[in-house]
Amino acid sequence: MPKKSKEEKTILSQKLRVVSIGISTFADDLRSQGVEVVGVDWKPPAGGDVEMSRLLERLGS
Amino acid sequence: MSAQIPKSIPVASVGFTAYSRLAGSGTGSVVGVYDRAINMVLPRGLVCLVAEEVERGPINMTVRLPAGRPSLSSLGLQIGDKVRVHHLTLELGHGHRASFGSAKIYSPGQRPKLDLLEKDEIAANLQAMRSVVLGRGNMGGLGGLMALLLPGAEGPAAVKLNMFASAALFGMASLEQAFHSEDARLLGEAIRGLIGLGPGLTPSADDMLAGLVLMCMIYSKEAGHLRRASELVARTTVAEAHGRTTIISEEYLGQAALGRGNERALRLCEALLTGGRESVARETKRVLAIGATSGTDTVLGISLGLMFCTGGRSGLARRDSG
Amino acid sequence: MITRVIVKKATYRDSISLMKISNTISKLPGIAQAAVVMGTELNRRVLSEAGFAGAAIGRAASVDMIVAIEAKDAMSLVTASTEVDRLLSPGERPAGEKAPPASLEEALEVLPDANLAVISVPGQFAKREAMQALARGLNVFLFSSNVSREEEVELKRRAKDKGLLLMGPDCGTSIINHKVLGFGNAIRAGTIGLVSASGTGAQEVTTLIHKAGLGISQAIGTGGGDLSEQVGGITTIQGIELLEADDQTDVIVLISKPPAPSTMRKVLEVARRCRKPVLVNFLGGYVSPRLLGKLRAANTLDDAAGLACELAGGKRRAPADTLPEATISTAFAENKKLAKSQKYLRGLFAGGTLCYESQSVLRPLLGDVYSNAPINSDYKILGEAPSKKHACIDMGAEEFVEGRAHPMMDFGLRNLRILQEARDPETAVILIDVELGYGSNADPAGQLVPVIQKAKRLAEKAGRNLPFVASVVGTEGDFQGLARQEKALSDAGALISPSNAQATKVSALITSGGSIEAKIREGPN
Repeated sequence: MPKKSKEEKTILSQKLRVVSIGISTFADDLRSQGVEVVGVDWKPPAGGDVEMSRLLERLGS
Repeated sequence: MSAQIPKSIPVASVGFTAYSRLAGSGTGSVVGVYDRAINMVLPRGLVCLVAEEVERGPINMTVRLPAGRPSLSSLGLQIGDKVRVHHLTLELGHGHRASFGSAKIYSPGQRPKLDLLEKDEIAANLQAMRSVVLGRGNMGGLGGLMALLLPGAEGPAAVKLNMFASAALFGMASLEQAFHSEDARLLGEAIRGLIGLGPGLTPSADDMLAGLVLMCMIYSKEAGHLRRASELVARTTVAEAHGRTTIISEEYLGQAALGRGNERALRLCEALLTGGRESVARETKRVLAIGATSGTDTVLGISLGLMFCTGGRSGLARRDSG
Repeated sequence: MITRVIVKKATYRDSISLMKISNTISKLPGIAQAAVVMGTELNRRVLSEAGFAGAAIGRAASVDMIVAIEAKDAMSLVTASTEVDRLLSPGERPAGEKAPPASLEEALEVLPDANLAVISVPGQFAKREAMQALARGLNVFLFSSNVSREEEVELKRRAKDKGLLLMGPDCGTSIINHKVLGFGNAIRAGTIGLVSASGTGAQEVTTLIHKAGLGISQAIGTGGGDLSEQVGGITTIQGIELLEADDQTDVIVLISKPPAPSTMRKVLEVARRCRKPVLVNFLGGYVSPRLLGKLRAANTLDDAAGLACELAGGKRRAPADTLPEATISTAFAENKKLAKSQKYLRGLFAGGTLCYESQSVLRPLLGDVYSNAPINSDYKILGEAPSKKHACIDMGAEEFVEGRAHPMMDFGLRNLRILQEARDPETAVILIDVELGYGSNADPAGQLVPVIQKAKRLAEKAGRNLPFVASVVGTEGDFQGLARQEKALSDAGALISPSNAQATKVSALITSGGSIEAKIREGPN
């Protein structure tokens, strides 16, 4: 096991505070569970729309 | 993901009027698109597709939306778009459809004749309703008139009225007078001074009148008297509304004139006539939650209607008569 | 005072939004009053009498919306008017909401102590976004797929160096601190921790643990590629270590398809060093006793759930390894009703892991089965091709999902396939999995019931009785309503099994009747 250099809090002991990047429904589902979420209105840096629409379709958007 | 509206939209209930308007084949037009409602005009009339948490009603088709409460505007419909209905399925375009053949038909149902409360118990219920409204009503429409028109134990109140409520005062006073005298001409005048007045997609005064007409129609049916007066108000309201207000408002007034309303308003009317103060308070809160000012304005109308029917006089009348 | 009247057609805003807009405008500096009303005759008159001049009022109709603004000076009026136009333009959000952040940086201004990024952008951009998130100290749940192994390794090494968790890529399910990320169910809190390379596998195990009355501490998704040779189980090992150190966790469960041999060795070595009991489920994949050591092993997901419950101190109340007597009788009865032509089992799966598990369960019972995602590559068939002999089809595979939503949400293709199988005179039974919870269809039973009924009618017309067997992955806390879903399916004639493995065994028994009874009664292989 790797040595822990200091007592670091891992995600397992923290209250979740989420940034959701991509499909907004993930953020919605987390919000409905009472999680603090900020959604990022993500757009591809340049082009890439074909890929995005494929992914969106895959998720039923 | 769960917050996307599926192509096949599950239908929770269909109002009996909506069902008869949707049965058969035909093409309709979208006339309104909102977060929780889509209004469409079909050959036989208006039908509203609403999210399930909005209430059931005679012209509503309630649909079950996924967790995450997606907006109905995400269906991509625009005003003017065509919708098609055939074989008990409503085609909304963009691949979305709502099959309602196996949905529950909502109809208030034939209830046995209600055991009406005594007049003083009804008066107590009206006071309970008034308290709730003054505490949590939305005063953006005609709500400010509640304190004035329905006197509380402390006597008539001095209230600040917004420009719409002020404008409504004269019409309201005339309305009261005309109801009791069954004066058709005065009634028409009064209602003409109210239809279309106030904020909201359904103007405040329309909501108020819908509540009033509904309550009068239900009361007269259950109590067995004041039928003529109630029907006169109902008919006149519908006639005066035609062409003077929005389509949806006209529709609601038409339904009210038949003694039909959405679920919450009906339950409130029933509670006022047969229930205790707790149920009245509870049902009032539920109606107040409708829309922005619609709920409050409807409750105002219901309270006035009931007051008229049980022989009460509003703060206006008392003031006028000195 | 100056006034302005704006007339708008077709606003797409409901009354609540309009009221918010009206309130927002009223509160702007220099604004005396603002009203948003429909253009009815009376409203127009009232506005005119209140001093709102303008020919525009006269032209408005009942269906139009009037925004009337009264301001102290021209400047305030112009500002307010611009704001109105902005708020009422299509696609704008209701008054009071600011535009959402367009980047991670902007999001962190709103939520500076964020600790998790949930990323679902297209694969080609995923690495970039995930790297940025890690750089800012966020853990990552990476739903995106089509990320290369090289990128995955790079991401995971970076995460590990920073003491962060990167769940994914291609990770469909995690439950962290009792919050579901991605697809998942409402699960009771408890002491069993999962590390899973399979989303549906995690769903099945967690829901079974919940139904047995116990609960989970964490379910850490690792993504489907973590146990490949190249990635070497980085996230899995991290997950094991985290759970070993976690106060809430008493039992650790590993779930995945069989790992690459070198990775299996590495992972099991770490697992053997845990003081807490560790249970591994490689879905029927063989693990040598030497590698296993004191670790426990389960071959099916329901077995894993049951064993985990036992290890966590509960009674072993998860579904039994063997089928209950009553179920065996029912299966035999169905078998008797089959026509001569009905010889084959057809499994149609939304969850790829369940498809895999069923194949694994069927192997000793019916032999290898055909699949578009076969355990035995000799039995590969194309997804779009008609089923051949005994077949288990993964309806979530790439060839089906292209251009459509995942079958847990969109039942269209699976429904068509059900009818296709129903028309085939050789189909003896149709086996399906149904997933509830976040991410899944709002009413799976509602989607399936009409199709099941139609399928049965089709078969009946041709003189065949067609049984359906279904397992429903869900808990009573899921919004679709577990009891309602099961009842609807059961009313439609489907036999409901408590787990995928059980449903598979029932289906095999229906198909082959007496010839495999002994094997079924023997219990787990």
